[in-house]
Amino acid sequence: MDRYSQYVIEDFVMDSYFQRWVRFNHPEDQSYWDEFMRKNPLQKEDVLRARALLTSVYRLYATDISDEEISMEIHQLVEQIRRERKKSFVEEKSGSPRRSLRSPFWWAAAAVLVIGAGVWYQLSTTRETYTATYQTFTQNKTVETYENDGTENRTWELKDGSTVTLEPGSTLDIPTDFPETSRDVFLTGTAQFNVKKDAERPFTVYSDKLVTRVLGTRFTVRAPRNGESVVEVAEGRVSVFRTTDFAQPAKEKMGMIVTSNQKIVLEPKEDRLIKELLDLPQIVAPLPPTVTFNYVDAPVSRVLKELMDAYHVEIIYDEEQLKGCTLNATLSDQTLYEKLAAICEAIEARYELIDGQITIHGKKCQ
Amino acid sequence: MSQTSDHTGEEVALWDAFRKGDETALGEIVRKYYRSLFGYGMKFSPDREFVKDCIQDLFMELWSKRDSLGDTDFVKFYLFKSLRRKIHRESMRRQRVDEDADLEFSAEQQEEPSFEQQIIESEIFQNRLKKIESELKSLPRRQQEVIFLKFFENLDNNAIAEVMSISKQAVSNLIYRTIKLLKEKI
Repeated sequence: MDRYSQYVIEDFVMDSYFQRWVRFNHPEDQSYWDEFMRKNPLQKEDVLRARALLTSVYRLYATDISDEEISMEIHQLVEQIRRERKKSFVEEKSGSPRRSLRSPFWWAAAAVLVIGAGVWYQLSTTRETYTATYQTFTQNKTVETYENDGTENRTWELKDGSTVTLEPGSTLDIPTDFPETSRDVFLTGTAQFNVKKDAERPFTVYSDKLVTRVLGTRFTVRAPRNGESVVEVAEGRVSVFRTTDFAQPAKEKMGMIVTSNQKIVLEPKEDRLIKELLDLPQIVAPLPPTVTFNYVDAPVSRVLKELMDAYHVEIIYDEEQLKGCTLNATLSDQTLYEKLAAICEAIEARYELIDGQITIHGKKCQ
Repeated sequence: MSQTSDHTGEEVALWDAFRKGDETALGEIVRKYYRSLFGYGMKFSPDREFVKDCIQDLFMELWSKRDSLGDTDFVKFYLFKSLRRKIHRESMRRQRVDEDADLEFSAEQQEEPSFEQQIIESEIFQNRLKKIESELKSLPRRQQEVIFLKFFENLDNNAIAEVMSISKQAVSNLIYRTIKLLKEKI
């Protein structure tokens, strides 16, 4: 307090602690300056005038912009920069997909040669995880690389009769002893798989963040460099693990089972695996001729069973509760969600999506 | 607590990372200074989108020539100076105004303080505020800009001189004169 006792209005105005008090009004500062004015009544007037002066400046020149607006501008800017980087990356590579024989060492070296400086840096930030997972995969093996550096999807047939469709920019590394010892592949990017059934040898898709194990099904794995990792199952059943969990001995417990018309999402923060229904579930099983999805006085429980059989989704409802409910509706050309909405409206119920399953909450019908 | 430029070790590291091509560092820098830059830009144009565009362009240009940027301990004033120049150029281009004319600094349209605020604040205080405000608004624009950069953005006199391309002496004179004038009004 000593130094302030000599202050006049200009000194207060220029003092940073004083400014902080006027501008932000923290309680500690308020009590300090209240106390100061009490103890130095001759200066009280100067304090108040200095305060008025600064307050005017702060109010007069303030600008209104929300944090959301700012975040959006930042996001746009960073996205723009990323887009420009990708452009130069695409321009570097030329022409058609090719197969090449590479050992892990070659892969690392080739990465530096083939891509431009900007993208090299981007890769190197995620390289730590990449190299670790990839190196573990390729240890003591030679791999063949399927790469799509074109602009269209491209499909290959694998030695076991399974097919893989790679989206542009994606690569699939396959050990040369596939499928004799096991059916393991390493994916970077996005691919659809149609896997031939082989109970002896589960087909396992390794990627940076997720491991997907299947017996025989149709599914899509999205394993981009940045962003969410997703596994979508069109038909069949897969188990999905976080790469970090897969290495643990008790791995069976830590994975999740994903069935038809479900997907599992691993957010970049790697918090947990979230299971959801696909945005556009498809009818999986061949429909028996009796099932048309057009109903006249049909018991709702039968309708729900037909949905479950057709889409291979789980619908949970209280059989007792919905016992007396019937449905009159034409649902044939509707999506699964539209069908559910129509049914719920008819019986005054609602549905919920939890963990990739459908739950109907209803009440007794007349 | 320093009133002058805030060139901490952290800021220097951020700037270095940015120059080496780390786009996350760029995002950090933008986040740190966006509000201030936007507030400054809005004093020269009431068009929010125009100001936002200028800031976007500014950072895109800085990004593309990041290899040739020098060390700078004073990131904030450098950004302010670059933005000022850019807004000047863009305004000239769009309005085809005489190039010798300088940018015109002026406060934006302000809202009235809330009713509650008016009750809490004493009448004396409110009268003072009104007097100072009308006095500030009538000051030459360059003088107002100096006051803004000094008290609102906490730039030191050297930095202000750089941003506005005037002498350090002119800056301290303007500050001194402004306080002297304002205190007599209240």
